[in-house]
Amino acid sequence: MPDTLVELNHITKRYADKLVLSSVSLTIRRGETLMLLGGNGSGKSTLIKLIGGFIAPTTGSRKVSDSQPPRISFMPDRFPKHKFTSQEYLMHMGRIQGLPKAALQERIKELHDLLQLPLGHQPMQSFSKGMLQKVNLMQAVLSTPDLLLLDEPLSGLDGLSMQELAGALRELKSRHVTIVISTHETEMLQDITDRVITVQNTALIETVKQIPAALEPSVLVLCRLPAGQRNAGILSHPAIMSASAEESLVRIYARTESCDQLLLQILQSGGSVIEVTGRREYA
Amino acid sequence: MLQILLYYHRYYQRSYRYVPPLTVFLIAVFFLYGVIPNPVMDSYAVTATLLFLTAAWLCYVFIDLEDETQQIITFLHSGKLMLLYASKLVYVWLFTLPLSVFVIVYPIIFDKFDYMPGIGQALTAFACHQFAALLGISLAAWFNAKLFRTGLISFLGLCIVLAVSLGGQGIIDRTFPALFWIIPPYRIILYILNDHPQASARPHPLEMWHTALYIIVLVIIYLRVMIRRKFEHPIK
Repeated sequence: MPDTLVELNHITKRYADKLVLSSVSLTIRRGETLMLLGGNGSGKSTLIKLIGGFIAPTTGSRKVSDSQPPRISFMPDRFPKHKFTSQEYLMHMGRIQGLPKAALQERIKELHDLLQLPLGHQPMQSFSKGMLQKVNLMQAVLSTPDLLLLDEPLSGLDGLSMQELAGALRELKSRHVTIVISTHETEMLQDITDRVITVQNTALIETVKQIPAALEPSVLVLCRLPAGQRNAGILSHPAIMSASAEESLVRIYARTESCDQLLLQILQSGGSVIEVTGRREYA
Repeated sequence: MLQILLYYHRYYQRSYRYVPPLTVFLIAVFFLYGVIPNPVMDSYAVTATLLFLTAAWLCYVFIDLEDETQQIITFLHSGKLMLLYASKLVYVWLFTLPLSVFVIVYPIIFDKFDYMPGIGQALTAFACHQFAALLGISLAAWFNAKLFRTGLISFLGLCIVLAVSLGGQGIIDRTFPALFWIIPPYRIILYILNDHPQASARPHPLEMWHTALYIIVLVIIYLRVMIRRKFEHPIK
């Protein structure tokens, strides 16, 4: 099919005694966005590396168009803390790609403005996780790729950085870039997702996308909740659309119209609200 | 390739990993020429051995220097994996080039020899230093994280190969003549670099070709293996 960008046929991947993927097949078509879900160690990162052709399958094959191989970009989950400034680093990557110097400088400035990262002389060694992820995304979109692979792009980011990254992905989606995202943050990216694939027990399971919840206006609440019974009471509040916990931090997506009552209940029960961010509203 | 070389240069420069091998090399050279006069080709044989070991050391620390994840990113930006690995080898060779020039010129300029070597001798010595550096690089490149489970195994492996290379002729004489084709031909460089009459003449083309061919084959197989390996690491 001319629409097909990458095709995985009956791929099995085994590391020593550990079977990661067993005879899985996947077709990625131009312009679509795939969300990969699955627990830690389920094989999402391995699948992304197989899609990108960074590792070879144990058995099975990966097919891309020979006449027009896709330009692939990759945003890894653990971006290294380089001894370069963000500008130096991006200049190197762009020049290696063959981009002209003047156009590259312009593009780097544009990306820094878009993701609200100051152009400075600070080496990336001293960057926070959020700042590193922004540079990570910048290197991936220095020139528009055909296929963008993102491995946990939102992990460890604060609410605002998440929104900025999600906004940048929406922009790429509008330019028909094919995107494959491995993430735990399903809510934030659901509006750009076309297909949801879960990696589970060495197999791929494609599920029908749940759209309505994501289209409701919502508020992201980052908070710490009191332990015990009162915690359970808050989490059953009718304003809550979804909630997830990461160590002591709880991330709640709440309905905009009843969010105030929820915030009040969190504070009254002895919890603390760390951040409240309004999400983009859809029609 | 130029842009990749520039990037690798900045990366290596800011890591300071080149400082220990470079320091040891320079100290050893200054120590060698601390006493004068010195025999010409024998001294060059010692500096060629130093350069052989130093080039292997420089390459060993450089080949896995770039972060594993960054290697994938650099590959995607460059588009060709072979270009990246070839650039790594070229970069380490370029790094050793001024060292070769330095060890040839330094004793001549500062009158460290018992006689002034002729141009033929100097050129032969330079060629041998270059072969020594290239052989050290092409051997050390194999001992990387994608082919060996741990740094300790790769380091010990490299040490054994370098030791076998230095004692090559003795091993061949005492074991199997067929090892002539397998053991890294550093013995040929040592044979050319001595103060016997043949040293003042041009080296035998066959001897040089054998060394050159060995390096070329080693590099070609290395590139093919690394391309097949992609970004896979052995299970630790």
